Amino acid sequence: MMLKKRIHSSINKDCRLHKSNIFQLFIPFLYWLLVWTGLFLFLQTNGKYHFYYIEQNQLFLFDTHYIITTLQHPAGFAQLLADFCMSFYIRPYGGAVWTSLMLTLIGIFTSAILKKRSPHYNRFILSLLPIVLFLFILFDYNYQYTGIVAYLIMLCLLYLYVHLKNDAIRLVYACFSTIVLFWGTGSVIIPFIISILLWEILKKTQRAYLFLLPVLVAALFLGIYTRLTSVEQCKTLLFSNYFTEVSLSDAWYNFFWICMPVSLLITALYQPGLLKRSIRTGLSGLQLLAIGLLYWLSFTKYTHQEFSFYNELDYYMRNGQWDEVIKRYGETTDTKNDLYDCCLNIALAEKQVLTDSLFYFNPHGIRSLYLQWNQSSISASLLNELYFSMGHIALAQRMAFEANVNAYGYSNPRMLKRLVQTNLIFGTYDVAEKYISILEKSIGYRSWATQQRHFLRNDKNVENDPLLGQKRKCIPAENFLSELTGLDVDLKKIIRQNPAHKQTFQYLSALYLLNKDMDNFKELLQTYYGTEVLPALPKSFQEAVVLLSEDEIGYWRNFQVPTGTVGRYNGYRKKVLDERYSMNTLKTTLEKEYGDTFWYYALFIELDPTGQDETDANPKSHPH
Amino acid sequence: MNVRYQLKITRHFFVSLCTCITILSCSDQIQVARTLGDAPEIFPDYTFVTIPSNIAPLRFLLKDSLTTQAQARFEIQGQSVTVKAKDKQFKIAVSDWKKLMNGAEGQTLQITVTAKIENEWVRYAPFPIYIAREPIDPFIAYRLIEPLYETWNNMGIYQRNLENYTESAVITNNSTGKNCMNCHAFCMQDPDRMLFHLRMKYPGTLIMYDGAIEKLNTKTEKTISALVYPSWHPSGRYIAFSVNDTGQAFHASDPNRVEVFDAASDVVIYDREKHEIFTSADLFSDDAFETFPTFSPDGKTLYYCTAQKQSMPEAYEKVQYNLCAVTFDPEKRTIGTQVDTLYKASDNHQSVSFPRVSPNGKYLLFTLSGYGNFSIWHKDADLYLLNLQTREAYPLEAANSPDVESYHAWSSNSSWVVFSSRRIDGLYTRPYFAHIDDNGQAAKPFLLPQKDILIYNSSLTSYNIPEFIKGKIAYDSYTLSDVAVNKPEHYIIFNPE
Repeated sequence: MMLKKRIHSSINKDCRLHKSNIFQLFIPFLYWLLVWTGLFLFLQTNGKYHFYYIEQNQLFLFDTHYIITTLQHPAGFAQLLADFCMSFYIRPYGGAVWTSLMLTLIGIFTSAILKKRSPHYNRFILSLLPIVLFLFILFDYNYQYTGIVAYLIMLCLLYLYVHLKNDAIRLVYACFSTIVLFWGTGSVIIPFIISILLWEILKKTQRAYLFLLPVLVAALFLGIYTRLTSVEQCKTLLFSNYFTEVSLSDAWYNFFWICMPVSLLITALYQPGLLKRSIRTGLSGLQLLAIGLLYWLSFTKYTHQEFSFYNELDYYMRNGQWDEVIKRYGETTDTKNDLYDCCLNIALAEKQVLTDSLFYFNPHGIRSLYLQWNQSSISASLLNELYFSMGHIALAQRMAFEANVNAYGYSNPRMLKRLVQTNLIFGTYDVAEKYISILEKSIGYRSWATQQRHFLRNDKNVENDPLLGQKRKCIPAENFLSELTGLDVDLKKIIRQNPAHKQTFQYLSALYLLNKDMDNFKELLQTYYGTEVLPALPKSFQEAVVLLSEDEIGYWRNFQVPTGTVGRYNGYRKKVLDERYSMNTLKTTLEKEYGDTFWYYALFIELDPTGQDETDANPKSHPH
Repeated sequence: MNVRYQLKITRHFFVSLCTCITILSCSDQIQVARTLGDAPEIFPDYTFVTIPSNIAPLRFLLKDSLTTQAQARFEIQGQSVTVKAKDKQFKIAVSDWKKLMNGAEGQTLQITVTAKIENEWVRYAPFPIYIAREPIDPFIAYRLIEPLYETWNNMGIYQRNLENYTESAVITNNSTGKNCMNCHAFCMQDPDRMLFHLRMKYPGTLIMYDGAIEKLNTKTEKTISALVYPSWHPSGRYIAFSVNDTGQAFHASDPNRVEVFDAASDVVIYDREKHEIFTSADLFSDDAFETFPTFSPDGKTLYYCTAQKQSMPEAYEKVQYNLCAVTFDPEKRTIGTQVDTLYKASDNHQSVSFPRVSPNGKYLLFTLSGYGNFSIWHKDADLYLLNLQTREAYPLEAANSPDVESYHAWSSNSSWVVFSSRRIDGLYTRPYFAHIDDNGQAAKPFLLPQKDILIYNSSLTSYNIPEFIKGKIAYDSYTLSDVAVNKPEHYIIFNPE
């Protein structure tokens, strides 16, 4: 009976232990599942288009030369992994899934390391610290994903380190890991060696000073690296801004490099008996507050709402979803800028309604239509789309090249696609094939690239293709230097070459109207009215013609301008005359009723006094 | 089981193993079903090329898309090596190649390719590779850069050992704030005497001379730009430079894509000892564009290109440069006043660029194109040789292709030239080497060998300004970047004399 009771008691105890173990396992699992889900939802909601956008900065290839070249420099291994992960960012949910997974893993590893340091400490709050820091820095366009991958690898090695019991083995492992991290992940050796040293000090390991050895190893390798390269490269490598463009580095990037050492120090305060329970609770509250503060600081610093909207427009533009561009532009309440406007106008031109809708969206000058080239990859990328839409293939190719050169990684796949297209259009098939071969080694562009082989060295297939064929017809038979005498002159030549390419004419006339260049507009009108290019006048043209009729009475009759337009103009004119002495009131009054007209634009929108609102472009630049 | 029995079993096992290995080896003895009359199509086209015996192994790719297996037999002087293709690429081992090339000067290497196409083995006609008697300089230096329109990202000056596949960076712009670096040049192929320019960030010219490095600020009030295209005087004391007001524009439909032009240019000579530049009226004319200076190997003549001034860029197609020369006295530091027109290209509506005299003083190699001076973007640009004794100029037909041949340099023994060509894909320049015989004739050139020849397919950088050097450059990136970034620069002065 006693035995039975003991067995029963033992079983009950086992069950309780088992339940307790399950509970202990289940809670962290549930916690991290919640964290991952939260991160995923947050990133998918806020970063969906950001991921699509940044995907084009890095390209992973199944290519020996690319892999060897990448591995040859510090952090090459991390870059390869980052490139590989980012290959999936072009797919729906790809960016959010991978990024949330990486961030969650960073949290899990941080938590596990802290748990090892102080098993009684509730480390769930502190392990959110690196997540919060990374979460927003990843929205910074200057920061490369290689940084987060490198940090994750560092945490993996640190996790293994803290689980090694033998001091000697730990020391050897630390030295070895320092070397591996130095070459494979770059600057993360700094938090790694600091964390190791701190770990041993906090652990009160005998002869903890021996763990300065990894620091010496790191110093040795940094010294060798510096001697083989330069002081500048070494300085860059030392800090976390190694993963940013050098010219755009930010001291803030180094902040989360001290994240793990700081966490270890905080954990040390939670040794049993060191602090009162109430103080510990207070400290936990402070941590939560600090994380909240960091969240807010990062959020305000790195999330640029206006640029995230551009990402969305850019995504639709990249995929030819012109209706979506127009719809979303119309829906947004954000302050408009040149980038948005250019996307919109490309969409309107592609829908062949640019001249009808030009003033509907309140353009603020010629830059709404034609962005200035400021040597940035963003403007190069957008100008590439713009010139391609215009039918100026040579300049589209040029800008695709400029944008591709500035990719963070090996190449910009989107621009490589465009270079394939422009080279197919020009019939320069050898170089088109080179780019096709490269894209065929990628994950996301393989099938598209293979499809393009159909056009290689086959002019007939190119000419019969609706897109490539139409663009090929835009190539001027007689060569000229682009933008030498102004973009408008180039566009006129393209129109003469391919009158069926409506976008070119729409852009040309829009350039004149936005520039209030009525002489050139009039000449354009007289040249093309009644031809295939301009069989009837679109809305903005009608308005401009009526305005021209102020100088030449009845001029509008030559162009069959509907009487409704003339009547509307008369109403507009009357209001202007009635309230001409109070221009501010007049502007407000007229904006509601006539804000979508050329008349309103002509009267109230001032051209850029710096002269940037001109169609001429400086042909001079610096060759290399 | 006794020991003897165990030994017997072991012996049987090894005999069986050896038999299996022999059988497997014998399976390499292929049955050739057909023999073709033509040599195979390979990349790079190494058929009938002339190479130096000290060049790195020539590895190549079989272009036939139907090939599933292939092997190549390399034969010379009774020795042979058979190499199996891996992914259609024949990667002959360095040791095997060295054995074949040992004492092979003046001989012919025969390569026979056998390929399995649609389940039958076919043998292509063997093709020869001629081994020249003269060796090639062991290194070349070049800049690796994306074929630029306007902006750049990574770039650097690299050196490559031609006897193996080792490439190393002399300096990259990661060490100098991502700036632009260009126009590296050597004094008579001497790796200890070189220079290059830095532009944008830390601008200036770095001159390395027998271990010493100095940085120059080469802008003066009298010259239109900082110093540009260089040519060292053989003494090392002088360096001739052009100064250029350069611009560029983009063709709308021309295959040449980009047009780079000078709106003005002059030639000056820099005196390294006095830190000053000087010139002459003919080299510094307002009515003409003068550019691309180059000293003769004896240092007594300065060649350059000159064109009548035009309104630029509108008249870019009318600019045609002739090849001229003036005397130079290095002792008295005087430039001759008699201009000798060696090749009047403008008479044929053509234009000369990049004149380079062979170190033996017999020939002058230049690029000829329809107009302008930036021939690297001109599809019609070809290499021409001028015999300096007979003054006869003729195209290096064997070296030229329908695409661009442009920047070029001589080896120190005057037997080899290296030049940039866009012949592979029409855009990315690659270095080719051609043997020049005693009669001034070029042999079919060969592409710079690579460990994996597919690098040319995946690389998105051009090999810019290939220059021969007689040894490895000893200046390291650390020192060069330290001087470039931290050291004070010398200002040069313009001395009109």
